[in-house]
Amino acid sequence: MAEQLSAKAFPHKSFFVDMFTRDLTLVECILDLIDNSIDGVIRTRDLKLDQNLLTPPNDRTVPDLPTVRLDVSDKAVVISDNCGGIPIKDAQEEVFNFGHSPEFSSKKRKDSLGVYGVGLKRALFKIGKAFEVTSRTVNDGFSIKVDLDEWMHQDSMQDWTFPLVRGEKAKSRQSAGTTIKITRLREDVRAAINDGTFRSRLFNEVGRVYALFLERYVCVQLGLETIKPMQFPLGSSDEVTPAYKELKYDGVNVFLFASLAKRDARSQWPADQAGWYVACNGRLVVAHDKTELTGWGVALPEFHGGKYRGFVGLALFTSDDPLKLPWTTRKSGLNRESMAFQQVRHQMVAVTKPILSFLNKMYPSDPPEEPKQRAIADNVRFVDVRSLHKGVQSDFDIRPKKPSPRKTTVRIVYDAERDDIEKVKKHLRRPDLSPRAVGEVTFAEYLRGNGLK
Amino acid sequence: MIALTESFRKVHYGLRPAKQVERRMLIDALLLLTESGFPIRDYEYLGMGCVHFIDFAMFHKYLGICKMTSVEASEKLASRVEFNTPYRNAIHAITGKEIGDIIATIAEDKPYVVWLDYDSILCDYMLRDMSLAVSRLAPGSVLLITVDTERPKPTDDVTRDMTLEETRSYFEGVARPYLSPFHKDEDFDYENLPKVIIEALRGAIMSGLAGFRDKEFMPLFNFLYKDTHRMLTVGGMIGGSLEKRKIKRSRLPQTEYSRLDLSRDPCVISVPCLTRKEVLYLESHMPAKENWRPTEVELAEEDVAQFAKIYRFFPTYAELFL
Repeated sequence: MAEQLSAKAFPHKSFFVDMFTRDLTLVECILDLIDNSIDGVIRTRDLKLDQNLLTPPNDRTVPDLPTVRLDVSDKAVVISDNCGGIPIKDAQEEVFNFGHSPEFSSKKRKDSLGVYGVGLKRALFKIGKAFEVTSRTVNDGFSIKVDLDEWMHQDSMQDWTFPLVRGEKAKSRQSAGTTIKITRLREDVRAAINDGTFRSRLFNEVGRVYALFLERYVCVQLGLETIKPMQFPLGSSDEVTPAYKELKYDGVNVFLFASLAKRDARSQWPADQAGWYVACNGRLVVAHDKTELTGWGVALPEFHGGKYRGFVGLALFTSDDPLKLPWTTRKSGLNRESMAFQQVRHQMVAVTKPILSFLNKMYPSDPPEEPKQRAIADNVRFVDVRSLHKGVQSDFDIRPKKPSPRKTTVRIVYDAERDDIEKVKKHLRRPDLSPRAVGEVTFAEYLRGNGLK
Repeated sequence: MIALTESFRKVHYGLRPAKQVERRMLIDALLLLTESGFPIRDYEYLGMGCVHFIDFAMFHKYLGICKMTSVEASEKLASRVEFNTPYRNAIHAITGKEIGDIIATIAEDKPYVVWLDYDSILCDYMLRDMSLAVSRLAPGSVLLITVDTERPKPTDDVTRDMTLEETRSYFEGVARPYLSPFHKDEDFDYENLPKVIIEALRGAIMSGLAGFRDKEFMPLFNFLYKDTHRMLTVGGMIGGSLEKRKIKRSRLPQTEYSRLDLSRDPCVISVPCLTRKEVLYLESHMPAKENWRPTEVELAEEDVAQFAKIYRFFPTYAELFL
């Protein structure tokens, strides 16, 4: 009989601290930390994401929003919030584990942005070599202080814990929250923070990723500045009805919005805002996508920068079981093999198609001078996706107010010798005439001279 | 999108015998499907009736379909389409829209017969329409696509056919995601083009089925025919195990013209050129017994064999003085 042995499959701390963090950017890490704060809001305010995220904007009641404050320097990264705090039992049993236990996943992780149980730890490890977490709920409080070099030094299977100290509870719901301070920043993190573009990138990214939360359920400040939510550039008008669909797949609710984008002050569509936006439980994971991921180039034509930059769509996936959502562990992309996403992508293609047909007509290969589509596009105004969520689904539709008068003119373009133009100008004794005017005069003269007009 | 060849301007649709045989075979098939539990009469028909509406008229008369939508992309034809629409309480004619836009908004819980009856060479938008239709059509729906399978012509010189290399480049351009990277130039010669097109269509169909459980495209038709241009029609039913069982139990698989496997050779519709008197004579001996040969007139063996295959669907043309 063959000898039964075993092969070790132990984890090593260095894997989690140095390897596991490599694919992540600093901004993504900070977003992971904000996710934990927003989960505090969801937990303590009992938000139901599929209902609350799309509550029409006129229902806003937003005094004293819970606030997440980010203080980022090359000495320390501090994120503090009054979003409700972490219960000490969760901290002892779950929050600092690498991955969630099946019991926690099935019972506690509802309607949340935290999914995989990796984001917080990965962010702490990526940013610095030491961290402190202090949290107070209305019932209890704790603090944790870790020096990663020391922690990694004790690499045995028995030492996968962080030292936790019980602390005071919060005096009120408004003061309950968590503060995370990361120090002894890694060299590459310090360099990234000192990059002149870092703050604006973080500012824009937070405004975009949490667009459906900011000013409604939470306020995020970078230093003293309050971050504004991005407005999805979806447009509508009296003539343009956006597409709006509600779908359900295997415990996942999907809300699709698609339309023409609002044009900018120069009556143009900025190419960088066009494409599909995808959010999972309200957190944006894909922005202005123009790739095969959202159907472009296969089920839809290749995204044509000039032609299709007027298209914008938002797909919002919600589920009380976040594992069913198609986000990746980095939450900056989609798991394209997700069954829910594969099916929804067909629907995304279907709502996109009529809008592209409109844009194709707007930019025909043989353009008339003023396509009626252009006038319709110019009148498109911003529409808040939440005001479209009224239970009434719609297909994208264009209903022009009145038919534009039939064009009776056609443009003539031809080349003429400069000398001949000059001769005509001299003959007419009108040296001021432009070549175009010369063309118009000579054409009119031909009609008059031949008794045609 | 490339310009349509506007074949309706070249040949009167009513005088394309092979196409007419195909329409009649499709009606026969849809009747057999009705017999095996698919209520085709209650289906909606979505097609491209142009200004002739021949398929619409036949589907209404012979199948009893009463909800039909015809889509014509050209706005210029609006007046003629409006003028020529028959059975106005049954047919809703739309002009100035692509059929793909209509497919994008069809109800996903109602069965349809959809015929993407293009008259030009395979283009990328046709594959996208096919893929979209597969993804949206409800179980029991029948989906057909017709395309021209002649060699494409270069846009800068329409007086000649593309060379083998140009043809390959054209088809790889419009159907790259769906074609095997291991093709040789010879795979794109005239004889093999229908196979390449079927490969592209299969890919588009599979792409439309991605992510669905118990949803398949079950091939039923693969016609190849030529009136002026060689045309290919591929068709099948969208459905799952239930529809599969019903098709298996039906009499459709026993017909000469059905193709439940697209890797089989297509059903080639060739209409023999016979006089009216010859047709009447042959008809009097149909269905033909094995090894029957005409005795009163000398006819080519293959014409007789072909006639025996399609005589039930054989169109008759005569000049009428009205």
